[in-house]
Amino acid sequence: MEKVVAESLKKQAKVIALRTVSPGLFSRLLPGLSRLGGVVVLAFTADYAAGNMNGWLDPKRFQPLINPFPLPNLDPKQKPGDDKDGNKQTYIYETGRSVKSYFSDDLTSGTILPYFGITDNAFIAGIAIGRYSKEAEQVKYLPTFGGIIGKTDRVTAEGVESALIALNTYGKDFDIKMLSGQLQLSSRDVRETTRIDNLKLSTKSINQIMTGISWLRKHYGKDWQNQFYHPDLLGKPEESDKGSSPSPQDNTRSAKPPGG
Amino acid sequence: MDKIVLFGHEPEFAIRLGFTKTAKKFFLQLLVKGIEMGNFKKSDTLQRSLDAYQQILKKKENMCHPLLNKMSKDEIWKYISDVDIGMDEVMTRFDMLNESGVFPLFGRQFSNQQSRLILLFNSNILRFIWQNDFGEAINQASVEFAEFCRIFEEYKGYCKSNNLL
Repeated sequence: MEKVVAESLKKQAKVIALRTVSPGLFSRLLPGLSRLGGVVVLAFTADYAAGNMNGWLDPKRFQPLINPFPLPNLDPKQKPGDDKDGNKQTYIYETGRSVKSYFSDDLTSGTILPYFGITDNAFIAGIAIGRYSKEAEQVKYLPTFGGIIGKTDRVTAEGVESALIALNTYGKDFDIKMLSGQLQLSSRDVRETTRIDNLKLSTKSINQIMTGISWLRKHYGKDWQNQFYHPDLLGKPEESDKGSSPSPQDNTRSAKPPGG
Repeated sequence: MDKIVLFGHEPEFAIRLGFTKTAKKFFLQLLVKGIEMGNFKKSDTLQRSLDAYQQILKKKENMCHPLLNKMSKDEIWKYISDVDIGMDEVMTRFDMLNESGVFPLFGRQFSNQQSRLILLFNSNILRFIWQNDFGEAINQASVEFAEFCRIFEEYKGYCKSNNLL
């Protein structure tokens, strides 16, 4: 029994180390930890209290190292506004949400999954019309995940959002499979993935998704996929997860949210 | 669907506009030489179709690519989808063509399918090469640029005079 619990604990602790702190997982982990004894619990909580886990909650981890195409700072309380040519802009954001956990027995209630979205309004309602009220969990988890990823025109923003959703639904070779006609994009597949909480693609147009990929490569570099690919929270680890799993220390993105 | 209005002639070039119960939301479909583009199942506003038309007017000279003009539709499709050359080269080609405006999006009415469109301009002819959805045939049809503009101006005038935008 102890061995089973220990293996389970090891797996789950790894998951937590890979991702943001999930209240659902943490609460599920605690009973198992207690069974193994207070030493483990103390070590774990001490690590957590020391801030190692809090690295995930620190927006600074998304600060840029190099970004050849930086965008201006983005305030989630302000509207994205217009670009220099007067074209209306749209925010692309990454936050956390727990909708899927209500639908699936596989997910612990309250588990927070990453969620990609776009909005023409401010992210937080207040000064301007906002996508979410300040009490919403999406606001709470905005700094935990990618935050405001950037802003661009609506067509490109839909392409960026769909590229990120497709990446976390079909894996890192989705672009190659999509272009070569091997991959049929489906919102059903998006609903079933446990990497992210999104339920559908905003566009299936290949030209639009390619425009989004182009934007991501420009602002986040050619390894943009590694920066936005989330390990499966509760699913079976894939080969592709093993080599690229981020840790709280090495998950710093190579580019600041363009504009943010 | 409440009403459908057709601009142009289906065997040449036509725009099909479908009204919904929601104000300012419409179905939209293009017909090039009678072949449908879009499945007429998703509604949205019409502004983007007019924006795409304006972009084509502005960028038509950039949409002339001597290299692509000599290619068949299958060769062009391979040129924009050939992943064997590596994603860097694929993206270089995409950015070059996208910058010249050959990938117009006529509206969200066309984005619910795994569609792809390339539009080339040469000798006052617009050449459409497109795939409506995953696994479907790659279509090709051409229309005289003047005819394309005439139909789009008619559609644009109707949208404005009926306050559809």
